[in-house]
Amino acid sequence: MDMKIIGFSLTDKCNASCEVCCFQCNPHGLFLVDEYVAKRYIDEGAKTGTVRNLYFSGGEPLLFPETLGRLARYALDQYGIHSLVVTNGFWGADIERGMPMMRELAECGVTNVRISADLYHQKYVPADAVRGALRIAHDLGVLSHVTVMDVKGHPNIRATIDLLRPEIYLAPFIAWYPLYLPEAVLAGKRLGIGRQDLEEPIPWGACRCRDFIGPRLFWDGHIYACCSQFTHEIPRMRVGKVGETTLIEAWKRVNRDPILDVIHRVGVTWLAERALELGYPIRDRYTSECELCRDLLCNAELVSKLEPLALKESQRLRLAGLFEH
Amino acid sequence: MVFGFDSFHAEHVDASALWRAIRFADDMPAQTVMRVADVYGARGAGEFLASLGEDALYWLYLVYPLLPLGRAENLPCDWFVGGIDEAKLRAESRKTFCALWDGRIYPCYYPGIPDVSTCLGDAARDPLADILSPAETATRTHIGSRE
Repeated sequence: MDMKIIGFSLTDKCNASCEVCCFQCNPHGLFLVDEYVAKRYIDEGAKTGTVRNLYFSGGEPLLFPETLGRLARYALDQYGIHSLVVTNGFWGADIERGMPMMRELAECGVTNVRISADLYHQKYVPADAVRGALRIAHDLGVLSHVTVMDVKGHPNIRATIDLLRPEIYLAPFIAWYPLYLPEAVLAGKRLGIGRQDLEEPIPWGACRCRDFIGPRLFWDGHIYACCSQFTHEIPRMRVGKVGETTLIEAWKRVNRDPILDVIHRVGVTWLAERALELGYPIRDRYTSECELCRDLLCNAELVSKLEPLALKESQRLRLAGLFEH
Repeated sequence: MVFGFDSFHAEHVDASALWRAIRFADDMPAQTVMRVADVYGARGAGEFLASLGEDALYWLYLVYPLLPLGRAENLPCDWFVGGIDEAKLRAESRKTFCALWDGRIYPCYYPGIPDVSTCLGDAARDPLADILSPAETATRTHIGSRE
């Protein structure tokens, strides 16, 4: 599979400490992706000829706008690659500072700013700041969309639109997702949300992997095969480590892994079908395709039985692909 | 493909039919978006979306302010959201023109139609350059006069 995006989870530091944060980021975060390493990975990825974008998330990547800007500028100047940023919009609190910062980033090739907003974020990021961020990003032509995660009863979509009027109208889209949480977060004592509060809109048979498009370098130095919130929990998703693995080697591991190959080519539902045939339970519905993937791939016994089946299917699909071409 | 659905459409369109149509459209290569009118209060976009079931998750929504135009002029004044960013409206006017079934051209897809004051011309009769040039002014003047 082609590497289309290189993801950088730039830092574990965040101005917010949202109870639902999948990586439990907070203001005490210490890590920042090494700039030299990141540039080497951009070099490697660019040489594949298939990378279209860099994808910066966190933590809050805009706590380090200079680092982000240098990486985005490097990718743009050297390879013509543009950058996407996910942010909570805190920088919109001060238009006088936020506007030049975002203008500089836009000039560095940041073309796509996605703002996360909901009741969990707005506990730490004032709605005024997000409205300012929406205005700035819109005026600079880089506003992509607002992302809202929600639970049963949908309190977040209601509150977000109410809180962010009228600037919410500037967003080309609102992307509305169910909240899906790693078990470690669900088990957190301070989070008043349980499994029973999560929406499960996707029947297992309809789970399609949307984001298997490139490796993601985390602030802790590990390289993961995808950008799923559950990626830390799935051992085989960890495909490399800074200092030990080049980006190309990491991506080769993804491509050579029959289970990951099958997920990419035909979807995680193929694995779920085999799991059912092998007598393993599958829930009727899931919060996301990533959750189904996690449930399957964190079961070591099941994985050992799926591997030979996936190897055959992967080989069959590769052969079929040859004939298609 | 853009689906218009909100508390106003929902009075006339069954939600289950809409979701079937959206899923059908989603199987096509086009991006699917739902366009939702927003007003203050119980009929606003937030309340409306929150009232939808889990089928409503995982889609993209374009929320826009309902304007007191056309039949909406008869709705209570305090429903309409004020302070709308004029830049947004100008951007809309530059991006989108709307041709009506009878040839009349309007400066944007905001629901000012059919309203004579925003009409830019007649596609069958007027040169294109004449139709397009006053778009920005017409939209701004018209919206400004209603706020």
